[in-house]
Amino acid sequence: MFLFRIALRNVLRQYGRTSLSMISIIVGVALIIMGRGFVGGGRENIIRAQIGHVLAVPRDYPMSGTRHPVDDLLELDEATRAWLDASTEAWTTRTLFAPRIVKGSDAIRGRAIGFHPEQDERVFPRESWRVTGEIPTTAEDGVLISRGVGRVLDIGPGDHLFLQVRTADGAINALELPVSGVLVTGNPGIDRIGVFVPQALVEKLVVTRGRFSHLATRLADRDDSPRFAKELETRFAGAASVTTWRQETQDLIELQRIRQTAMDLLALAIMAIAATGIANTVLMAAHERVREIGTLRAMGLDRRGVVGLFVLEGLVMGSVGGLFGALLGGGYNHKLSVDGIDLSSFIEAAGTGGIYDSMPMSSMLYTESSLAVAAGAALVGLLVAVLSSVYPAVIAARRPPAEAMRAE
Amino acid sequence: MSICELRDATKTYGSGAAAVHALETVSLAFEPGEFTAISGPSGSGKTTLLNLVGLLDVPTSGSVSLIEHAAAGLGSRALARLRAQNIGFVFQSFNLVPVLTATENVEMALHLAGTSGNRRKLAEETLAAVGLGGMLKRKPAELSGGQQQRVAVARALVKKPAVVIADEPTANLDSTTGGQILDLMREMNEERGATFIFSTHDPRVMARARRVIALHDGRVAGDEVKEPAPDGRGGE
Repeated sequence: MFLFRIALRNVLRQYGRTSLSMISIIVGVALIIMGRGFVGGGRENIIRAQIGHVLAVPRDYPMSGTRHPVDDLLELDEATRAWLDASTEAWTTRTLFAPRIVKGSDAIRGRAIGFHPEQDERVFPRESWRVTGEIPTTAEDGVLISRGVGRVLDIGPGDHLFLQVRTADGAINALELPVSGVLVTGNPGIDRIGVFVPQALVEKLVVTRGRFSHLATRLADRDDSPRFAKELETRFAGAASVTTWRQETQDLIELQRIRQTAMDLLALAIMAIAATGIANTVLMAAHERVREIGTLRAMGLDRRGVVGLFVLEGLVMGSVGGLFGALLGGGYNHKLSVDGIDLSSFIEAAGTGGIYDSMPMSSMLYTESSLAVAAGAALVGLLVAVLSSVYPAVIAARRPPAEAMRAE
Repeated sequence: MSICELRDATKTYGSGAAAVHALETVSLAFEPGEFTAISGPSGSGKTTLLNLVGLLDVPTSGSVSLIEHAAAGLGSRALARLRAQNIGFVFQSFNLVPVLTATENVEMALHLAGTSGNRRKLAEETLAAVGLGGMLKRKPAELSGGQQQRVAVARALVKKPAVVIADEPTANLDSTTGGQILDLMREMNEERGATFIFSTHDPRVMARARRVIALHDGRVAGDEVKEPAPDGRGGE
């Protein structure tokens, strides 16, 4: 305790020098936390945007492009519905189809997403949605069009459009529908040609008879996805292709992994600078305090005590640096996990056909906030500080007391 | 029984042609309650002798023992423990720990000696005994040289050591303050029976010692006992 008191005051005595060393630890620890937060958040972003934790689509369903066939849809029996209710946090079905959207003499090929107004948001949170007007909840409300559709056809909330489709039976069908609102999601694949259609309208338009093209689920534990996916596949008896969020986001996860490695290397480099800084701080302190160390040794402090004294100084710097780093990095990361980061400008800058175009991601990135990661990063900072003070401490302790007392 | 004894102690620094013989075959014994000055010009071996007596260094040949513990063969931890419990040090430059208050500096000696009980109270009482009862919370930088040396004396005495080693304790003080420190040391010697061995080349300081050992070129050139120690030992 007495040595700790001396160590603490020695650290405060050289606060300018020790502050610089501690800043490197703070930055390193904060970077580790932020890096992990972004990577975890990136995964969650995709899960929230369009996939959920486990996704089932009809076998051989095209997972890219704008072709959305409705001739071979999936259906759920009562037992599977009950099982889904019991086994998931939330689940919903969607029916994607490719209507012709017509306004007067103008028409474009769109991507319609038939959704259940009550269930959909529980699987696909809408924090990143920016809606002008209303999100439709009934067939009478009409459809929610994307900004791209609105611009091309020059329509907005309150206007009407025609949706022309081929039904599940192959017949041609069309309905005149009101536009309830205009939507921006940040996902170019939706924002250019997307139309959200309430499931009740999908029934009228596509005549799906309760069938659907996508079943998406949100699980209490996303790591349980492989087991759940296997069970779901069995229940569809080969009719569905079932994938987990991990499989669906493989490419992006690889990219994230590379980013995480780069971030970790950067944190490592900063930690190395911190380690050098602390070793230097402790070494300088050892040189400046040779007589003081000699006095303590004369008074009976043994070598182990001298090493302990300097390592305690490293410990103090590491604890303070680690704590502040964890508070700073963890705090900011937590804020971003709640408020999110608006990526729309990046996504828009990438433009049509850019890398984000085919990725089911949202324009709002929410980082993943984890107390364990923050604590782990703080511990790394602490260890770096302690280990880097050992060598100078040993150097200081090695000097015989009589020689140390002679030092000027 | 001697409190400390050197037998044919020799200390040589370096080797071959560059060898410096700081002490040559010195044999001395110090009795409890002594107030002894080690005198001699610079380079005569005073500090080397005190380092050997204080177990800060070991002789190249010969032996040193403190309260019947032979220094030879003891590891650095055992030597540190012996110093912590049995030897108090007073240095020319005071050597107080700058980040600690006067009380904490004194308390530290008790901590290192492994003294149990109310260390804070004991430290404060000792500081009061050396006339610093009103400056307990001051740090060394807030004290004068004389006051710092009083703290150093309190630090050396608080653990009731077998011997207090003082290396030129008045050299960095003006003559008045130096005289006061010497008075204090003598008072502690007489009242508490503390054994003092100190080096000096100041004739006025030597005049206050009861025993004066003169060193010259690393050898004992004289050993004069002027008056007996308070407990009657160490007389001629």
